[in-house]
Amino acid sequence: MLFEALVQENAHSLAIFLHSVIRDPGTVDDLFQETLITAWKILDRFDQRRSFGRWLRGIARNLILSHRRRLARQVLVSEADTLDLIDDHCESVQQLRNDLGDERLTHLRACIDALPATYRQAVRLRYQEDVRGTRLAEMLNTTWDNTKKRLQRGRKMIFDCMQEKWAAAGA
Amino acid sequence: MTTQPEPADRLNELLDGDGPPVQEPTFSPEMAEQLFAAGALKHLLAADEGYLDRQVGRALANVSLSGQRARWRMPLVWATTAAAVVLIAVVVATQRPEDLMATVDRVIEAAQHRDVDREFEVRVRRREDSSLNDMPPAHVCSRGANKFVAELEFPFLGAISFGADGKEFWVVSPEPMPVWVFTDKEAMERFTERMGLMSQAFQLNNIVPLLRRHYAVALTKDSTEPKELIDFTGQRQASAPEEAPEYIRMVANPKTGRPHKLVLSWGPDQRPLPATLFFKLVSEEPKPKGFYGHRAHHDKDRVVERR
Repeated sequence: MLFEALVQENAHSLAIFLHSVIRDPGTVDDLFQETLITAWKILDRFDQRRSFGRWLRGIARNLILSHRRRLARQVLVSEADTLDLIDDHCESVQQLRNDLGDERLTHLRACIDALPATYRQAVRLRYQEDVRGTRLAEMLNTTWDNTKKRLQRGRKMIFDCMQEKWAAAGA
Repeated sequence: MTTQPEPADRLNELLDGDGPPVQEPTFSPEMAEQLFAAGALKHLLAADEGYLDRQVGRALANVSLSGQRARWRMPLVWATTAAAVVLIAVVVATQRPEDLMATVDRVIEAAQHRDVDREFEVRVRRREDSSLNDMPPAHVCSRGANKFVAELEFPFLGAISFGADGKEFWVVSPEPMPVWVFTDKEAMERFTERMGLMSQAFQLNNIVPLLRRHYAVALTKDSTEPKELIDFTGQRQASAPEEAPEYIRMVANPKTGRPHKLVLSWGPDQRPLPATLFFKLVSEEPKPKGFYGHRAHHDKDRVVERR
């Protein structure tokens, strides 16, 4: 019962962490399940002085590293400092202190809506419609190189926007 | 001659193409930002709104919780307010219609008396069982309109207590979990609801008026209680909130409003749990100072998480 409450509180940040590190959504789902099951089994090892979310993501990270050979190209990054920083960003999302995870995502939605139209279109086509490569470039009526730059700048704008919200919330 | 792609190009291929994973130490904050933003976008945009709930539900169903989850949830929460709530029913049923409101006011005043601590022993009977639940009885203490403590003992989870001291709301669960303290009533309600506990009834001031408008009160038929006491049953009306019990029965002193027994019963399709709770007043001994605050219910060195 209490484990349920903590899991639901931290589910969004765990999912974001996994999506940040793993390429394929199906593999993300599998690791999400395995992380929660593992967390339940070793719950007595949880140090209450730590953030439960960080502890969960630490379990996910260890699972990714232990399955690295099997996961192979699914793992986008395994470099420790990068994973640490991604974990910090996920913890900042968690610290946007609302009791409903979707209210935390409200900030993310607002940042997407605040993008200039060309960047917003690129982001939505890529991540909502899963349009990729030259097909994406065609739909945006530009080159693939420009498309990649547009996505990169759009992600950067979203991150900067989220960072402002974390700062405002004291996260 | 081939050249290594620049890190930004490599990252773009990684995120937007099929580039190889980043294995070598090429850490940069910009890379972490891009990966995080991409992960957040994938999570937010790629799935429908209920997707994460389904994933969590599936995971929780796979863990060995079903045998360890509490058999019953939070109808007990109602105990703290029901004591006062039902007092209204007591007075209402003994009076002529034109005396009812005056009597109700007197009962409310008695139930919300700031200087009286009332402790109830609470037993649960599940609808699918014909015998009382095997759990040890819970205890609920209340004082006035906004102070209460509920103490429950679950077979596998151990002892859980929660309450309010008029300023804060709190939940104390077995270690290693922290003690949770809320200053916002609604925040605690949402938190405890996720735990399966209905905390909305903690505030007597919210429940007492409810009985006036949403329950039809009458003397309990074929009562075997002592004649000097009043035995009433309030039947829920259609306008009652979803979590309100189907019926409330009370045995109390009609002059002082002092409750002796209380029964709260929820229907088979009702939240939080189809069950009947039996309350018995066991004490009106004063509680120690600070009893309704969380510190009275855990060791000094417990981590306290404020929300």
